[in-house]
Amino acid sequence: MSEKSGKRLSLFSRIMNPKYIMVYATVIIFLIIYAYGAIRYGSIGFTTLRTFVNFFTDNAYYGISAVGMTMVLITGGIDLSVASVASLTGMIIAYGYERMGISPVITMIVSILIGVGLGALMGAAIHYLNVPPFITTLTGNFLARGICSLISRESISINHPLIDALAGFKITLYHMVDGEWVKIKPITNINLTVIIFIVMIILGTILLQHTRFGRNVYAIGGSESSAKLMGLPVGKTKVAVYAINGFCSALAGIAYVLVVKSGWNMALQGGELEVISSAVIGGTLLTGGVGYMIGTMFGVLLKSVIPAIINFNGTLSSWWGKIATGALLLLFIVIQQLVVSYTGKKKAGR
Amino acid sequence: MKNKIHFVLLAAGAVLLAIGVFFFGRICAVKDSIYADYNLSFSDASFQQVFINDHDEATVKADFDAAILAAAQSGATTEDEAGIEAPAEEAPAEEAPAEVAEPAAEEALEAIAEASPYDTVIGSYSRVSSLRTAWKLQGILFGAGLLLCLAAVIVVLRSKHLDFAAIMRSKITWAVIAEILILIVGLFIRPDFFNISYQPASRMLYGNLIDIINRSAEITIIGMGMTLVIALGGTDLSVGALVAVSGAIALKLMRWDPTNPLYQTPGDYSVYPFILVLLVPLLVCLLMGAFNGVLVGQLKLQPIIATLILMVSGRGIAQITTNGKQFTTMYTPFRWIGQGSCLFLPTPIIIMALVVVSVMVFVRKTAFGTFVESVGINPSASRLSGINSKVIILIVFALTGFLSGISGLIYSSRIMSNDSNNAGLNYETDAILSVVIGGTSMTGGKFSLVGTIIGSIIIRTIVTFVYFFGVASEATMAFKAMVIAVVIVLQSEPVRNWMAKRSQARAMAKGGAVK
Repeated sequence: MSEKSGKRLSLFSRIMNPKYIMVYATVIIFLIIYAYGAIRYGSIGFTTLRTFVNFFTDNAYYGISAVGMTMVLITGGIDLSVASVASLTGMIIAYGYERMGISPVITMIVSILIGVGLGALMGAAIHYLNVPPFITTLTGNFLARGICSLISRESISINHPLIDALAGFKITLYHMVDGEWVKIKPITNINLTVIIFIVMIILGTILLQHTRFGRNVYAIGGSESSAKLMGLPVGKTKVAVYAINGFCSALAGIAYVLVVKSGWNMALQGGELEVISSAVIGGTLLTGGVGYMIGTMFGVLLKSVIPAIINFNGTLSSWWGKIATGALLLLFIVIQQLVVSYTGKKKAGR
Repeated sequence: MKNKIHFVLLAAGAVLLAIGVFFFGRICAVKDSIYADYNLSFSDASFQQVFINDHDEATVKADFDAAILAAAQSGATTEDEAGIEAPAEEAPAEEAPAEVAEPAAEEALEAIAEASPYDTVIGSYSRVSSLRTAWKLQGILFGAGLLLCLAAVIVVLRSKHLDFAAIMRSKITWAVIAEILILIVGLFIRPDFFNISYQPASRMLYGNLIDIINRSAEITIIGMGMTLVIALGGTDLSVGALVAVSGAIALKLMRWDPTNPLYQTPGDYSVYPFILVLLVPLLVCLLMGAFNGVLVGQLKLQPIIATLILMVSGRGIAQITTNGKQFTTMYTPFRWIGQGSCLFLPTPIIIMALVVVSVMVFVRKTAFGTFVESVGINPSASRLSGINSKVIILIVFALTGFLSGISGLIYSSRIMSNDSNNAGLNYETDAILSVVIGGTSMTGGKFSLVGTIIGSIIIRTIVTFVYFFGVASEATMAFKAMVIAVVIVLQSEPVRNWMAKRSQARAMAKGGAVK
């Protein structure tokens, strides 16, 4: 090992690093399912670019939230409050404009601040009061959902030019045909939510892989006590991670508002588990220390491709989607377990 | 002095409760005499409207006449002996009793037309105001008596080592104190929250206190299993989905007839024998729990993610069991599980008591509880000392699945239907919260089944309270969150250590002063 340390590894051996194996498993299973869909339903438009872009569009808000969730899971924590914080964001924007006449710009900023504040508060409770993350964030979940219901119990639709403009914003994809730019048929649009999703994934990757903060996050997940002994700022990092997650949930709430253009107190119920399972399918270990943003992205895509196949089939009950997701989850955690025990044995062997 | 204090508290509480029972008897007697005078029976709500709410004499009179008229017109007033004997039989055959009741109702209407029933039945306003005083006193006495008894429970729980610091350090103490605080608030705002009344029609006691225990049955039953799961250092997220599965299978067995695939109007029958209706859902839930146990025990998956599988797919399985249909039934034996009465109490309370006692006996009178704690504290050490942790994990998860099945039967019997989307919604979080409030640590190890019962009652008390004061049902979550946040913060290690240190320091200072 020592001779290698000075030298930069070749691209191939860097890519084939066993620590990426879970990400590859996710990508391969995504490709297998996509290929199955392409063979079965290619004739009715499964292979078009539009269908592919829709995989991003369908679950973009879950994806945005999953960026923060991946970091939380890497520190060995969990956050069950994301969906209700997102729902609260939608409620604040809707109630603020429709009932109180406050501009969505202000309510968006306020709700992001609330998300960050609640996240930081929960992070502080987890670290300084030593309350398990599961319980702390569950309480946060109840609190956010309850406040949502106290604000209003009915769905409020938003009619504001800014929201309409943001929701209507899209980039239409063109391609070159005979030296002329033509719209791809069927017309393929990239929404603002998809752009936010991809930007957040890129930002998350940079934050995790190329900053000191990211290395601290991995260190805490690997072993919190070792990280503390090494003198890393464990408390600050954990609070920051939960605050970032709060930011992501509020942003996901804004993205959700752009999709449904309304605020509802029961919106996105159970969404936190969608987000967590996306991250887990993407190769993030719940015990902490392992996880990559790109894997999470493919986890989100996998969650869109299964309903897409059920849609294209047309005869299956949508409930099979839930069962398929469960089966997929089982498959992934069994693979994870095998990988972990294999690498563990290898380490022990050395 | 210190070791006598719980006797004093208990005695005072018992005396107050006894006086409360006396008033309870008085109210029942007055109620009975009113009913006997006029051969009628109000619903609980209109009884409260007339006799309990603060009105002047004229309003009471008008309300009473209106209530009698309404009751007479709905045909429900003339509940003669037969009607009281078999109230359940009335429901399936709605047509017949209505016709019988009509002449009787007409008679009542004529009687009302002749004279104001208020004068004939009640006689004087003083009778109403004495009833009102009795009602209020009953609430205050029940409430205060209950609080004193609870305070005695705290002392008794810690009587083995009556050390103030130890009491402060115990998590159960904080849970009971939280419950007491909630109840004290209730006692000051609305003493009649604590009232209990007897409904002869359904042969059981009614009241918010009874309702709290009744409605907490599902969570308490699941909580027994969840406590053991958490003591192993895991969590079971699938219980809510299993509740839905159990209800779906039970309703399918009662209503789904392969020879007659058409969906008919529900009646008082079951397609399969009742014993199968009970056993098959429980067996399926047991197997699904065992599946969780295999994933956690044999494959060594993390419990939270292993049970997430069934949580995600369980509701799908429930939907596919019934083909997405929502069956309803009127089958009387099934109704008894969730809505019937047993020993003057709602049946779920009795089922809950049976489950609690049998789990406690199983866990505490055999070595099983110790095994669970040992595996939860240190799995490898317990393996080395010869405990088969895989089997322990399998049994605990299977038991939790089985208990979720019981809970599912109670839930679906309450609504007499299956609801794959909403049955057992958020039960997993409620169960986990009651276990944690009850003082069992999420990191595993020592557990307290009594604490879980208190935790589940606290959660239900908050919900009942919020309903009682007329706040929207979804908003209960905010109140729940606040109470839970306070309890959790009080129970958290740094705070408890600080409290214990402070009380220790104070005790030492006191001791020094005496010397």
